Amino acid sequence: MTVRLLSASELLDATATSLGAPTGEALSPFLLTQAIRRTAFIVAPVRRHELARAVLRPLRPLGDEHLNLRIDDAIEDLVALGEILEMSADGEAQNVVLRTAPPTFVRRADGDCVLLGVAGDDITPPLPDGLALGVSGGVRFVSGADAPEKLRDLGLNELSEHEWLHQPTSESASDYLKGWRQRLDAAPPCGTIAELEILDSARPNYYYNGRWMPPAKHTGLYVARRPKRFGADFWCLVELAHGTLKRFVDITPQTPRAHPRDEAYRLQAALDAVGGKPQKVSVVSVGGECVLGLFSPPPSWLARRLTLKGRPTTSRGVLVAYAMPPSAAEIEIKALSDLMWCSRREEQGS
Amino acid sequence: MDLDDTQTRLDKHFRDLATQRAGQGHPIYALEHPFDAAEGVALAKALDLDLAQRWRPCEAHWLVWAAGAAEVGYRYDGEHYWPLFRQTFPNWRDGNTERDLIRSWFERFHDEFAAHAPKGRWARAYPIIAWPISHSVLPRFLQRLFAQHLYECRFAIARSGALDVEGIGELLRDHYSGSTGRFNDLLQQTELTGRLVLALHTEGQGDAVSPIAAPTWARLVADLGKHGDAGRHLRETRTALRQSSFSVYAPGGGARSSGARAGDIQRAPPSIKLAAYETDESLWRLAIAIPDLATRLRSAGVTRRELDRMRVRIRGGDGAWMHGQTLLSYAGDVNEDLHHPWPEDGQLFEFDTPVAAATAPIADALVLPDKAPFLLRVHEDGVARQVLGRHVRARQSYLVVARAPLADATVSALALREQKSRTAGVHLYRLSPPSMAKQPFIQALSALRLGYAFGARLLPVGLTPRWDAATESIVYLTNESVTLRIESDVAVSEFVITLDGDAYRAKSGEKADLFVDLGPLALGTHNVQVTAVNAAVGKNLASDDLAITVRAPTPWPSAVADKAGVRLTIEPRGATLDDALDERARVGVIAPPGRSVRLEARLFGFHGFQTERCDLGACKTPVAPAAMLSALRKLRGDTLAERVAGAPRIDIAARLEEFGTATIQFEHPVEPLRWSLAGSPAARKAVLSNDTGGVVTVSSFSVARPDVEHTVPIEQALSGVAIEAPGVLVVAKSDTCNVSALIGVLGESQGFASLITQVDLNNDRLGVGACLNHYKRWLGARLLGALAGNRRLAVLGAFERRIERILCGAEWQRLADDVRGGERALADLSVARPPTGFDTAMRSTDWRGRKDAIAEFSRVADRYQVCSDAGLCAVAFTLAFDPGSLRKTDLPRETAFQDLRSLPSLTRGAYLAHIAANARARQDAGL
Repeated sequence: MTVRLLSASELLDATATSLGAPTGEALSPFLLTQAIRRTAFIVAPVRRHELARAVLRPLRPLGDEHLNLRIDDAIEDLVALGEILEMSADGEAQNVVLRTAPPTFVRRADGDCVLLGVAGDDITPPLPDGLALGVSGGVRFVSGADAPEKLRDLGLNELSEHEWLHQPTSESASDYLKGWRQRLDAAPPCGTIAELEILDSARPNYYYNGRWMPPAKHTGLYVARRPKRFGADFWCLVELAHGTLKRFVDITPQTPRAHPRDEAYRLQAALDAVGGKPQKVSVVSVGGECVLGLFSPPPSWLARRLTLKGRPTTSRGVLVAYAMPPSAAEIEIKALSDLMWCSRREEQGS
Repeated sequence: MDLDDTQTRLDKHFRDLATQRAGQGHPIYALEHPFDAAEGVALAKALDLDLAQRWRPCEAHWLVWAAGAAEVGYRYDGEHYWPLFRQTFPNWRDGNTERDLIRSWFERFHDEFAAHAPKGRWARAYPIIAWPISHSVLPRFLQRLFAQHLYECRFAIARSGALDVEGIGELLRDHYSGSTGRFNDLLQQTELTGRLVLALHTEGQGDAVSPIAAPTWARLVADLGKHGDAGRHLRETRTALRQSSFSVYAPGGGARSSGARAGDIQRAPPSIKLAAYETDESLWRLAIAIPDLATRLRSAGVTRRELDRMRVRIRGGDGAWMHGQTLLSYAGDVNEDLHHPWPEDGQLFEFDTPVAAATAPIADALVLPDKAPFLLRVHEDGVARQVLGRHVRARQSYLVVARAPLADATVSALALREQKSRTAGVHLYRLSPPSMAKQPFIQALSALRLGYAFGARLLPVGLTPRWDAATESIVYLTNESVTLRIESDVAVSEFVITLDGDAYRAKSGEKADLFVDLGPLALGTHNVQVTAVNAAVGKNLASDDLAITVRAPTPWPSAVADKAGVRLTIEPRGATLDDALDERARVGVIAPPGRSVRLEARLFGFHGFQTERCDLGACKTPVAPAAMLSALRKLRGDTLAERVAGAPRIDIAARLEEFGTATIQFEHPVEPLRWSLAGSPAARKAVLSNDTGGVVTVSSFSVARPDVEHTVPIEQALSGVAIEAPGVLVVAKSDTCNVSALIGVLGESQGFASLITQVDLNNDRLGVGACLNHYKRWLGARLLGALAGNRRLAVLGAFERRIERILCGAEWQRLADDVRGGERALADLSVARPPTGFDTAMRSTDWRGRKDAIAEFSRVADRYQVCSDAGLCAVAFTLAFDPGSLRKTDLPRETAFQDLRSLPSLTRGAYLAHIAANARARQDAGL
């Protein structure tokens, strides 16, 4: 037994090794998420702020002044991904504690499996021969022949991709709108709403901010925002006749973790598609990678999906962009077409 | 191959082996024969040839047969042993006598050579094949599982220190939580599996006697290597065993190695300590951390009976008396909340009739050490734990716990911040000592009998510490670096770090903090101490001690079972509760296996608040889809259906024991027009709720006269329509809604008679179309009350019979009734006279569950020139089999029903097919 003095970088490497993360890097997203997974398992059940504090204390000497914010964000991501579960401690919704999810995997279209949850002391369950662990950001992937079968044999639960991403089911834009149309029809007629703003489907869909405007001579269905006295404005779907408000329904989240804006973005995509001007996904090849660009903000489930195989980047003229391997890009383009009714637009790349 | 020679050779081989192992107490196995693979094949052929000549296995070659049977056992796939045996020896006559012969030779092998004898539940259940299979040591099909299980238990075995062979086998058996039956059977053979571990441990160690012959073991290892990661599992297990202080006591050979682990240190037994948990900002929950009483009681030989003679309660707790045996549940990891202040004398446990033999061994552990005010240090995990040293240190955070408020002067001098406590009558203060304390601060501390000390501190860095309250140490795993940060209250020249008695000196850098890596520590407990040397004052400052426990990682399935949460899933996403109940969607539970999940439904009112909780029962994880469906379907039961139908939101919650609850939420569209059941069973009423705001018309139909409509005034419907026996269908219509409910009630008759419902159709001239309209109205009604289903069947049956009579004629229906009642044979019923091939086809075809049944019916009708109109054929077939599914759009033309009346051969054929299908179903059900 020896006692060895460590520099900060050596300490970081020792910590990374203990957590099964690559060494020689700064405090990487993967190291951070591994530290959270490990800590969450140790201290569970735990409140979110307590977990953040427990992770921060031993890592503070290794991070900068923004480390606490990074930890908060990473915990939020792990909760959103379902690696850490929010459970009510005594059956009351207000009394929420965190627990790690049992080891689970999600089969993706490219054959890889996303690993979720914490396998106790191991963090990641020891994988059988023939399977390789990969990392993208804080997310763990398993690849190899018959990966799903081998993971199931290992005792992991399987979760469907739809359920995991909180992703909507695939349906035609008109079918999707039909449900909203019915809800709108069932709403009582209403008077005017001051400071109402609508997303004008007639305006070019490659400039999102330029589509917002007050109702003028508009007729038809529009995604809109109506003011709220305190807090963020309500998202709603409105029916206008020559600029006059006829009916509206508030867009309420369908699940506890969903946000109304996710539904609103998808509604707008459906309105654009049904109106004959589907939203576009720009596809640019850059240095062996494919950059997918979107001109409207993606719902959170879509953003999560795109960051699994891609990394956020910038691209000229688009609102958000993700760079990824071409094989993954094809799968995501299909998902964008199925779920957001986007059409593909090839761009010149380098 | 000469079998006589082979028998002689085996006899000598096994005798030598038995002699060699006699001192060790290891038995021998038939698989440990000296033959290689080619010889084995030749041997099997020779035995089979011998069988062909003699018809029975020859006793003179009994050892050869034992070896051959063990070889078959080695190739056994877990399903059928004897077919494999016969495959190996094609001339084998598989009778009980022959099988018994094989068993008797294995028994003789056991008696004469001290060979292995199978034991355990499996051996009792399979008294013959248990011999050859267990003598094959480790059948191929179990090798991968065994290697994986061994791998998962490797640290548990290593941690066990010294065990005997059977102890290891028992450990392997007890650590298996899987459900593979055959593997469970193998683990019952604890001596055998223990010897396999011993063989692994002694492999390649020349001086040790292996419990498995080297060639046999090499063969096993080579075969294991063919199972993907099994070879790696075996290698890593061997490494883990050899790196640890693990040793095996062979039954006859004594312990070969043992001794205390280098890392183990002796620590004073812990006593009760105060602890506090911050449940909210500045709000603390005070508790006592109870040390490991269970081990002390067991070590002292205290029996459960002695404990049962007394009851115990915690003074300051909730006041409840507990059974004396509760003391055995205190294993060092239990905290009990303090609801009231601790007693002045510090005696925290009270016994109603103390039994000295039981209380004496733990007496010193039941007293709160020290006197108030207590000093608690807030640790890295946010929990405040009692400090017995009563010295505060700079840059630390403390809680001062007192029964009475502290003097204002003290509070001011120490800059104490008062905290809130959930424990009544207790005062808590937060203390954050300055980096350099001045005289008033030290004096104020002194007034509380507290001191102030400078010195160094050891803090975990990099990895979040695992605190083990039982050993009061920080726990690391064998694969984790023990990295610590050393910080000092004052500038120091160097630190002296002592690890398990060995001292290291480290110069302090420019910054006060140092990071150290203690390197890989052996399993066990270790003590680290740091002392700061201050050059300015020329002496050492207060030191800090840290206890560290190093343990092996717990295999993940069992670790997860103890900690992971539960997730409820719904597939497909966005499905409704009705989708789940009608099997269009699936609610699933993802949770650690082997736990109990209690399911409940939470109903919410229009105000958004929960109005009711309904227990749906408990399921063991993993929850089978059928079990989940069965639980959820309770929501459609009589007692719940109505309340569920009226709830705008329903949450399905899964409560995983004490681990918490996961929910999924279903928005439940509540119809603006709906019926509910009111009144007592003797005076049932159907009450209409109308939220439409529009015009609503209400009518009712009696079960006894289901085709006669009665208008009901809306006011009466809103206050409640009285339901007369045998039942009533109520219908409410508005511009947008049409809702109906069927309520069945008991009449004057009781018992089974009440289930027989007399239904008469009032209108003799009712046509097929009108019958179908009535049929669908009754079919679509929501059932309310226990007898509603029974009443609906009766009404639907009446309409079905009317349709049949219209289409097939009264005379034919009478004949059909006779066939249905069993008074005539199915062959007596024909579509027309004389019968044709069409009749035969209707009777002989199995129409049940055929997706192409309608097409087939049309094809046959066309072939026998009964009807060539496929549309009409489809209508006839649907009317006979499932009239409720017929839609207007299914009719080929408006006059379809009239046209069918002119085609009795076709309609009778359809009904004949239906009668034949039902007869077939009854036959299959054995009725």
